[in-house]
Amino acid sequence: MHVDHRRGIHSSATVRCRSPSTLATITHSAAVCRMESKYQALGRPGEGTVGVVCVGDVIEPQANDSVLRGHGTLLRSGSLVASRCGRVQRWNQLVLVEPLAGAYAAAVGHVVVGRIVQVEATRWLVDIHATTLAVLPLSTAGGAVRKAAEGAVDMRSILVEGDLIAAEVQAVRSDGQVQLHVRDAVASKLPPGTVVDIPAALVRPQRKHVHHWAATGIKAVFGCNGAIWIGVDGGSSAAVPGIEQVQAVVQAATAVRALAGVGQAITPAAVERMVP
Amino acid sequence: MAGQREAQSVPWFADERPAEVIADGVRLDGRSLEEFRNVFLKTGVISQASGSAYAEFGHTKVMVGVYGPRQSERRVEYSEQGRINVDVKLASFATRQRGIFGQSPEERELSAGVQAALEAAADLASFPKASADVYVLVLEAGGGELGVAATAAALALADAGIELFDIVVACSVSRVDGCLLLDPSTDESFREQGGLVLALLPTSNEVTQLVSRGRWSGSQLREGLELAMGGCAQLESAARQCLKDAVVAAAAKQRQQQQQAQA
Repeated sequence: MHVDHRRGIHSSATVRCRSPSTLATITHSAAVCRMESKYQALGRPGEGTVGVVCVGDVIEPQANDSVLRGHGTLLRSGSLVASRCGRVQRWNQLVLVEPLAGAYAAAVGHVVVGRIVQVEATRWLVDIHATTLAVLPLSTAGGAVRKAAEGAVDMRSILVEGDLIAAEVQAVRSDGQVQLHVRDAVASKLPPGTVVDIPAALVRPQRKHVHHWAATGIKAVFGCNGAIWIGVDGGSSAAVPGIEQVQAVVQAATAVRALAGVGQAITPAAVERMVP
Repeated sequence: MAGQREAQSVPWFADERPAEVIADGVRLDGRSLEEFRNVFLKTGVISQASGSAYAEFGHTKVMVGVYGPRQSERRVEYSEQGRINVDVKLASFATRQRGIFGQSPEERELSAGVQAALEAAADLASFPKASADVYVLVLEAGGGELGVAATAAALALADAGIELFDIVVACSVSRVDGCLLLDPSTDESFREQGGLVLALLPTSNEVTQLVSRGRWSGSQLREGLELAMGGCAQLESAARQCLKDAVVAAAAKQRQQQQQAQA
């Protein structure tokens, strides 16, 4: 299911219903994307700014069984009340409140840039600027599995605390735990560079998350969690970057920060326009 | 301990606190008995924080920053629910006498008070195993710090996107010479015979916290509570307006960006 990789789809369009089964969730997400062009966000009738609610505002005065309660809503004495500030979204019977600026909410298929914070026996815990730490299990870490067959694996020889990695979200458990996977754990470690932290909402899941600048030899990875890594391309982690590369990295990082400052969506194309 | 404090700190102001705080139904600052001070509320004032709020109630100035929800520390035991940790700090220049080093008993009390007021309002089940850290800095303690801090902290939680059952509004009432004063300043609460702080969820009128000091008879307490609830109702409209303004501004900015992106 590559729904999230299509361009132009807002990450919050992948809707998770509270009660239905997994099958219903997948069907819903696919249906949501088809409906996207037909339906628009509808708000409360008679409201000046369409669809904007605050905590405690009533969305549906009489919420009967046909209304599916989504994220950011509460049922209080028969009426549907907002528990978050944001915009009301209605998809068929599902009513939810989309936060205008919330923490990063991981979804399957997102590419994220994270930092290892803990090394455990069979997994690494990664900080992806979400509510809880993400998990990168050894079993999903590509090439490391082959090493495991030879005997006990020294986790620290692959990734240690403080390493930056680019990974893809493999699964999001029901309790919110995010599971990551990489093609090769050793190769996923990002070489020297800088990380720019911007609001996660500005980086949407897109076709390409990596951009290369051939002239200066630097690379950028656009993490959907709002962490944009920019650094040298293909060098080993011990290599010291040259002055031109450092300048190019700083230039690209400044461009990203400037775009984020005006609320522009960060895409490889947008950064390319600023830093050719 | 008290002797140590007197020896180390120099009083900020040489003049005494006024002996009379009400004259012919008019208070020191010209307010009527049931009038609020000038209220200013704004969210989104700290860029690094997940959510923040700044509140000014007359001379009481409070800044709140909310960080999280983020992974709880390891030493914290596993919990199906999230946690809210509140840390209130009175700036050393906030009070009449310079604050002592470390956390004073007053700050500990304020932290516990604000935490109790907020816990009932937040949907803790929405961020299991994580904790939201609320840092409250009182820049000027002009009276009613607990109430102002609780209100501002609730706005900051809403700004951070944490799911709340409702916002929290809180106000204080003082009884001076038999008169009930709404939203007292420090000079007024210094002369009180009884005081109370009421924090509630305005939509359902559920009380999340009630702190009473001094001596209250049954009927006085009832009157005081009614006055406090009326004060909270006034404050609710101001708090909601503040949240609404922030949300509308953000929504307008987003629509502008979308239009620019399409153009």
